[in-house]
Amino acid sequence: MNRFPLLRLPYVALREVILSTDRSDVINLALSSRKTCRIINTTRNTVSMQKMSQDDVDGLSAFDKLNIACLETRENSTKVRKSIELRLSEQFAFSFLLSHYGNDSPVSRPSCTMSFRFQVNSINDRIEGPREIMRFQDLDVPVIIRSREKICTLWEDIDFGFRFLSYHFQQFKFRMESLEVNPRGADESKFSRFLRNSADFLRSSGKPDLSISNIELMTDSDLQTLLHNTDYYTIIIQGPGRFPDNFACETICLTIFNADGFTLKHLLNSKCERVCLKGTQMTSGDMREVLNNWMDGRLESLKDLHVELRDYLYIAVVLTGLSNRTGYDVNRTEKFMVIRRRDGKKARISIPKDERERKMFDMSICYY
Amino acid sequence: MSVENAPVVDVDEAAIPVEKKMYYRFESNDKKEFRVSELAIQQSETLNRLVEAMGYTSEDVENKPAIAIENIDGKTLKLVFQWCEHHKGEAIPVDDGSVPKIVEIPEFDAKLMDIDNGLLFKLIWAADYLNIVQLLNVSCKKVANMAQGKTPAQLRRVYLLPSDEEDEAAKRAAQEAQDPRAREVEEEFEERKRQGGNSFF
Repeated sequence: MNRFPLLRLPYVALREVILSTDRSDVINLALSSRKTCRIINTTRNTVSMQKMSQDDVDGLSAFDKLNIACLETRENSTKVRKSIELRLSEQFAFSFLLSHYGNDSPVSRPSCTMSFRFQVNSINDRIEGPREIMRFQDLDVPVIIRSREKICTLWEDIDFGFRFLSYHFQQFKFRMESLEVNPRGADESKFSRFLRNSADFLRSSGKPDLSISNIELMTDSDLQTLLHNTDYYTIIIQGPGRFPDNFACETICLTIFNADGFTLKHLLNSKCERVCLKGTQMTSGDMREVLNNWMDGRLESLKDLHVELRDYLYIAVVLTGLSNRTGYDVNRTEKFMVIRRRDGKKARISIPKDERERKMFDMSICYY
Repeated sequence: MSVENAPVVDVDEAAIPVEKKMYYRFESNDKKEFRVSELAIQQSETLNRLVEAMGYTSEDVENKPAIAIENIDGKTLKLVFQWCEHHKGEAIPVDDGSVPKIVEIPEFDAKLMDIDNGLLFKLIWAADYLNIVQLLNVSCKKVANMAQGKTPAQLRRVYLLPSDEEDEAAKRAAQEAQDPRAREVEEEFEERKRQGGNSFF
């Protein structure tokens, strides 16, 4: 092979070579070594998200975006936030999001964002588009590039494909942002296998948010796999749906919409700081049980509970559980009932002020 | 016009008739002499300023020694002046800021640069030194084209790029060469550690 000593060129010439190199090739050049990457980033043909414009990023192919993600991982810049989202549904996909922030303020808006998605498909799936070969480490994988944001990877053994990509993407050390689960339309056994396979990936990638749709289509074993192996920051469940008897979850924030299948037992079994339940079949009597449990020192992780009841809230019914107890104080104001436990912890229950709030049970726990 | 017929006059060969207009004589570092037209010289900002500053007349060109270009050899300089003669009178391109830069390599230039990479490397150095913008553009584009469709590993081979590990090793070696005592201290430290000592000093 005829070789050329690129780095021995004078800087002006080296810059000209880099400026004349196509975007995909310059990204590969940057991947060849850190030193080359640093030189490239001194030119206009930059490969750093910190220097690229949104137009530059939008013009990249999905594969170039993956390579930029590799570079950003290697450079480990704190100004580029990197996250990954795993979608387990009829289609199994890894979605990447990179955002560059001009400053370190957590409320600042990103100056440049980049997203792309890798889908795991069977080689027999009918997907329109020409097939190409993409190299992941030492493996050539047939792919169909659907758009600048989406690549379908094709596998003889889809389980292997999922495991391989999980392992490959783990090296990016991106924050696992969220896991979206929707079993509707998915092959049941394949779905279960993917859930099991994803466990390692989820554990290694941080504390994601979990979103579940069509929970009634999930087997008890799948839910067990999903909820008992991984810590989630928040869990959002879209009902309606049946929850297994032994359903329990541990998270910072649990939100369930159309929670008609979510019972008092499920609530008492869960360890969550903030719980928001919409459209439950629960009653004031159930809230009395919640208060009783709290008075007995259970539900200790709970800080906020917001429940939309089946019927109107009757504060008197909720408080009847206190009648046989001693060592607590109750104070009533216009807006709240405040119950102070023996250990000084207080539960503040909101008194509904209008018709709209009549079905709402709101309880906050505090020390002051 | 073909590459072979480009009107650069290599004085040693003196095969091509000299046109009746202002020209200059240049000498490479291996003592090869070239006659180049004034218009062709305008492609090189460096040479153009040089001859302007010298203010040579036609007689001066003949009577005074050739202008020495000490860091470019005859083979490379011949290519440079062939290129300048072919493109004489053309406007010097201005960077329009596009990324990647759009550079077309004309057929003449492609043939001129159909050379081994060693000579191409020297040609780029010469284009940079003599500040010949368009020659630098096309020669750099030729180098850029070597990257097309290559993987990072292939690019390391094509462009002789050291890997990160090699860079690190070279950096360490350079540090050690700068301070030979550092290696001795490190070895002594390792030896003491092996012997179970917990204090170095």
